[in-house]
Amino acid sequence: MIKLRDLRKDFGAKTAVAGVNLHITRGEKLVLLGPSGCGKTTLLRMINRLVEPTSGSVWFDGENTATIDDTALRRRIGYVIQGGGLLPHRTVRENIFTVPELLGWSKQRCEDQLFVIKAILWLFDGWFDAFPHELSGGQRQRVALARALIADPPVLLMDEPFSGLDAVTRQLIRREVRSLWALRNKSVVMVTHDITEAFEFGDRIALMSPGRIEQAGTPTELLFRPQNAFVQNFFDQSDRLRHEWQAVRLHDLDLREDKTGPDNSGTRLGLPHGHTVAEAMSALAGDPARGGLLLQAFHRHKAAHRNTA
Amino acid sequence: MIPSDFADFLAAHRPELLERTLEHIELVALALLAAVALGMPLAIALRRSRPLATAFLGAASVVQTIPSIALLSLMLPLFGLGRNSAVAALFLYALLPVIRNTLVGLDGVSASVVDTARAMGMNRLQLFWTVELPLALPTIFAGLRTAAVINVGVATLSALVGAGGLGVFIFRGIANNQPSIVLLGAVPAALLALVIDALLGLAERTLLRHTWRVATISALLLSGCLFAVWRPIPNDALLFGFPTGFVQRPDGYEAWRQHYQLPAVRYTEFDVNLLYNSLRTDEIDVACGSAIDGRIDMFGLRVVEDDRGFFPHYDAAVLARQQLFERIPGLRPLLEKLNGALTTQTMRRLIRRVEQDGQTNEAVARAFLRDWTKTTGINWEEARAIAKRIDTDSPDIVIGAKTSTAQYIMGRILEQLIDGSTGWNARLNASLGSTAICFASLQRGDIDLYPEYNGMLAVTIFHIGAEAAAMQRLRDADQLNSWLRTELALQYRFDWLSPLGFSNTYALLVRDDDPRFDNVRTMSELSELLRR
Repeated sequence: MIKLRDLRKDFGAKTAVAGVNLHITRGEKLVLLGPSGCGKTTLLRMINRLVEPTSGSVWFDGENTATIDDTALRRRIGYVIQGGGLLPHRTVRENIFTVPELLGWSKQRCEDQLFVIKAILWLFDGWFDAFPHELSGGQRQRVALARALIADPPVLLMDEPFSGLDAVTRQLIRREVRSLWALRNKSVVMVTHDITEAFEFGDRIALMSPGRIEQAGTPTELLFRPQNAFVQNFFDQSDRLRHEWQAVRLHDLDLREDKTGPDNSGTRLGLPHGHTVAEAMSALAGDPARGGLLLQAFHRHKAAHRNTA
Repeated sequence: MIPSDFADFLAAHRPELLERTLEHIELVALALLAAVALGMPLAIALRRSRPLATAFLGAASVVQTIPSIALLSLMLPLFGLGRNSAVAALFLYALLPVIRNTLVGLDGVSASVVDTARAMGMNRLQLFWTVELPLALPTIFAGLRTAAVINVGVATLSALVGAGGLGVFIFRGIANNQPSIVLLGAVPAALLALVIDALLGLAERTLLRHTWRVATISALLLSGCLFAVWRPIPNDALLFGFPTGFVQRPDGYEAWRQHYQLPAVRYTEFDVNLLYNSLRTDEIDVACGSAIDGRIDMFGLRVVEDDRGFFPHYDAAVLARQQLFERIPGLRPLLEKLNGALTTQTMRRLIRRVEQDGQTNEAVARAFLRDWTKTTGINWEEARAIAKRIDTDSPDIVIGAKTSTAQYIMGRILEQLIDGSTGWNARLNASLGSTAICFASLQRGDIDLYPEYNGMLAVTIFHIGAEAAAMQRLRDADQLNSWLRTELALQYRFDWLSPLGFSNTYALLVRDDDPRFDNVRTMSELSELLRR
């Protein structure tokens, strides 16, 4: 869906992005993870040409974006930033209709699409005639998402979309967005510096050091098969074990001793096999027998993966 | 003022008040419209270059610091007398707030909002019209409202360059010492500022809600109205230029018209000092100026003879506080020696030296005193002996003078005569704006004496009426002077000294080379010409 080839951006003498190659497939959720100032936002903004690359190219659906009109390109790519970036002088409805209006949709078509999207995103009719400053941070972020999605773009770019929200709202919204049916077929590129957020959201994670991608892979690949010292150190400096629990899911584990076994409904230890170890641990609090089994299986998993690395 | 008087007063002035208010609105609206039409695109262009914007804002600030009167007079050579000069000056004043607030407003639009708007797929034009401009609008309007309020105030000065407006009442009132006429201009001007400010506030709120369709329509409507109001001045009739105050005086326009049976003429009022040059440059056809002004000779102008003796005497003499002569008894006889020393011819010669030859007032005064003491044989030693200094701690003697070359020269002559002959410290406080201001300063004791004209005192201080008896009194110099001497002594304890010799009466002026006036030597002939 999106291919980045030798993408480079210099700001004067400073190099923000130094030759990045990346392929994002249709429907994939890719997270750009890295410390602040590593160029992840610049990289994201080169995809919809808010930033013009110094060299290299971006291919969108088989077309070189440099050959497409930039405004037409952007109308096909959703964009959500921290705080939402809603237009303060327009009502919520006017904000959501920004792109449809630019595309020249009829009023009826706008309202029809709004009807569809408001159900998906839990938007309330009472908000539509309000101004952005009258909503809470979480509500604003949902409106921003609705604005990005209303024209049904195949690609969604998100730049730290959940920063600036309080911890509880943040987690709620994150899960809500992750499980959005509307995002099912969309390629999403999200920028964040938060490892938990990255693991929870991303199918694949591209870990960046200043200017380059050090490793792109699933959370477990990054954790257990780091390709270099930077990747290793990045997680060591953080709370590694917690992230490992967040990365590994029950279906990854070998649960030989589990007497409940994989049953017809696909559960393990009586839990959905899509659960992360962290989620399973909190669900099994007060059940030392099965909790012990889980921990043993997790450590075997770790040991095995390290050996193969 | 009791209510019925007030109602009568308003009724009497209503047509002119309406006309002046419309003129005032027109001046302000034209200047603001021009400032917006030029300033906003300029500000938008300046956004591309920070150094250029800084340079431009600096230049605009400098223009802003030029005093309004000076700016108006600087516009005169470029745009001529009347509305254009006034609008140009007001436009320059309005430019800075408009440009600065447009720049600040556009810069203040949040970067993240602009960013997402671009990311939504807006092109530059859409971004500007639907995001940046609406968000900058409150700041831009704040600038516009500042500019409007400044302009309503400054526009009152437009009366001095013949552009009309409510300032006409203010300057007429000041010139004739009629506070009610001053208020007739000042109060509506203040109200106008409030109303325009409120209207702009309303426009701002409307624009924010109903976006740019309404903006375009209202701009078109406004331009349409202005186009309708913009009355081109017809060129066929003769244009008279009158000094501020002349129209309202009992010995002014109306009485003069009746005296010579003139039809109503097209006229404009402005500062007397600008009249001569405007006549020379053909902006007006006939001017009413001062008979002793040096520019009459300098600019090749000709006095139309007052053959039926309409204009009263404006004989100059010194007006002083009696207290001054009680304090220094020798001073009065000394000043009385000037009686008849300054004939009209002498005064015109002195004025010409200043205005044509560029000598200073002091030098001209000194040269005159030197010649005068030689011919009259005044003995300086003797003079000093008469007026010996009594008390070294006594305050200075302060001499006042109004804003005209004749007054400056008179002031200097008095200063040097008193200072040089008595050993008292005499000091000139020149540039007092009007007769009313000089007279009030004399009453308060801020000045001790100043040169004045008898007709001026009769009209502006004693408010002598337009009736025949009063006019008769104005025309008999001896009778007028003795009447003034008595009244001034009784009412104000002022001393009205003997006439100095020259008379600063009104004079009707035309260009000497103007073929239309070849056969017009007297006012009667002018009246005939106009009635034809």
